[in-house]
Amino acid sequence: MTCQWPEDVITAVEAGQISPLEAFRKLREMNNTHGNDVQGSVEQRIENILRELDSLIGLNEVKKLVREIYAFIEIQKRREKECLNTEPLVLHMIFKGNPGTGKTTVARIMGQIFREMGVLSRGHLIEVERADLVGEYIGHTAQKMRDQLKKAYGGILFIDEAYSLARGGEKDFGKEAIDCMVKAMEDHKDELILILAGYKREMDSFLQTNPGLHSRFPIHINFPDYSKQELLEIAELLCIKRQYQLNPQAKIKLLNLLNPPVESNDDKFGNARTVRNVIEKAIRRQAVRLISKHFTTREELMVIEPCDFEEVEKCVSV
Amino acid sequence: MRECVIVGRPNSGKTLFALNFAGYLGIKNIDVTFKTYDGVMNCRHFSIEEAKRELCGNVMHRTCSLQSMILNMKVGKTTVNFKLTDTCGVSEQIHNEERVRKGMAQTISLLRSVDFILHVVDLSLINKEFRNKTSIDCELYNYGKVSKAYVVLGNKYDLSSSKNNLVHLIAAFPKTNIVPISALYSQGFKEVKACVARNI
Repeated sequence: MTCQWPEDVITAVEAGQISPLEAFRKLREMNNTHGNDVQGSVEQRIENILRELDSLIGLNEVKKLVREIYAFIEIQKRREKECLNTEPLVLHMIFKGNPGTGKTTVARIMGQIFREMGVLSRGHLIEVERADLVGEYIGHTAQKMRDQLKKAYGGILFIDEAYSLARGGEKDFGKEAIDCMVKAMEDHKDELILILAGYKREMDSFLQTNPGLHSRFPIHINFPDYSKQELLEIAELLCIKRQYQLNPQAKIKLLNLLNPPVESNDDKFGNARTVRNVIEKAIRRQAVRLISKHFTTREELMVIEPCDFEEVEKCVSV
Repeated sequence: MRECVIVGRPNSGKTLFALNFAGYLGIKNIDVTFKTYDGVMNCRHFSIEEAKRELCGNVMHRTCSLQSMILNMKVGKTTVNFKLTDTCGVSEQIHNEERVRKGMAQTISLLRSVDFILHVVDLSLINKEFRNKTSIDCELYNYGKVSKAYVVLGNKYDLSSSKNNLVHLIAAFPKTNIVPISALYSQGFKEVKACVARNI
């Protein structure tokens, strides 16, 4: 009698095909094999998520660091099994980089990895900014901060433009938000990972405002600006996802349009987000160009030509 | 609501334990819900004494369906309700009666989903060789010890022959908590109550 599922075992006992003794043995075997399957699939799921991270253009340092963190957590878990001393898993992070350099995307992927590894129970990402955390009157800030923290337990609290919390001066309620955040980081370090993100320069001065902040975030990740070539690759990827193609002239035109700041100090340049806006604008321009034609071929519907980029200079400059 | 299930071999004292334990918790009248393998349910109201007269006995496989009762217990400052389910005894061999086989299958099926397992072992049947034998109690132990909440109740501890057997049971089941009890005389119920309170 072959039993593949526990229900088959129960039915076999009922029908008198196997004894209860044998049934228990079979159930135990099934539990063991299914347990191994789950283990195997967890590793596979993590590998899939890391592959998703690898598919992002550029960000080589970031990818290396994420793999490092993954390896660190895994080894700490194995050490714990062998009753060896383990480092406390404090994984609060600071992401520094210009807008559109992939900070939020990487944070989301990290949430998924941590959930699969069992570091976080839910692994979701709560994205907040100053307005969500700072209140309007005395005592309001702590309440707002606590509400957001409560939502984030079991996942990641991602505070975008975090430096703005310390920007209002002495009487600003932002300071209260920072104090509340620091307390939650300590009290709930097992349930929450906090990620502060912002521009490099501002974040550096923000960390200096509160002496305890720097040491409380053991992981600092810099998100460098994309090079021209990387931005072009991103553009091509975005087009492929939307089933469009850039013809060679359009690529040259796009390369001319994309002029990333040389010293990474132009905060207004949107990096990958700008590229996405440019592509979306070009797609709309292509639609306007084609609408007057009565018959359009499949190729025409897919190809973006240099003339579609003509009006998108505004996008890049914003 | 958490569900505690009582399992063990036939005639180990599961039903008597369930009823006397309910009595120990201060309940005088109980509503017992009977659920057969086919899913047919009926509910009967008993006093504890009536239930003992009707549901317990020396005959093997007196219980062939799931018999559940809702009990409550004070845990800290609050009263917690939990479901105590008595099951059909599980033996090693294939039984010739279909209703018993179905009852056993129902027990095994329920074991997979409950929150807390109370495994009743007849101490009078334990001896030195018990450790090396293959018995349904060993299989239940192997199954239960990996689950979150599992406790072994060494029943019939009041019998003079059982006193020495507890050592053999502890040697055979080293990885679990064993509570010696007498379902008949409600002995050892304080420890059982503490165990249940921790797991509901």
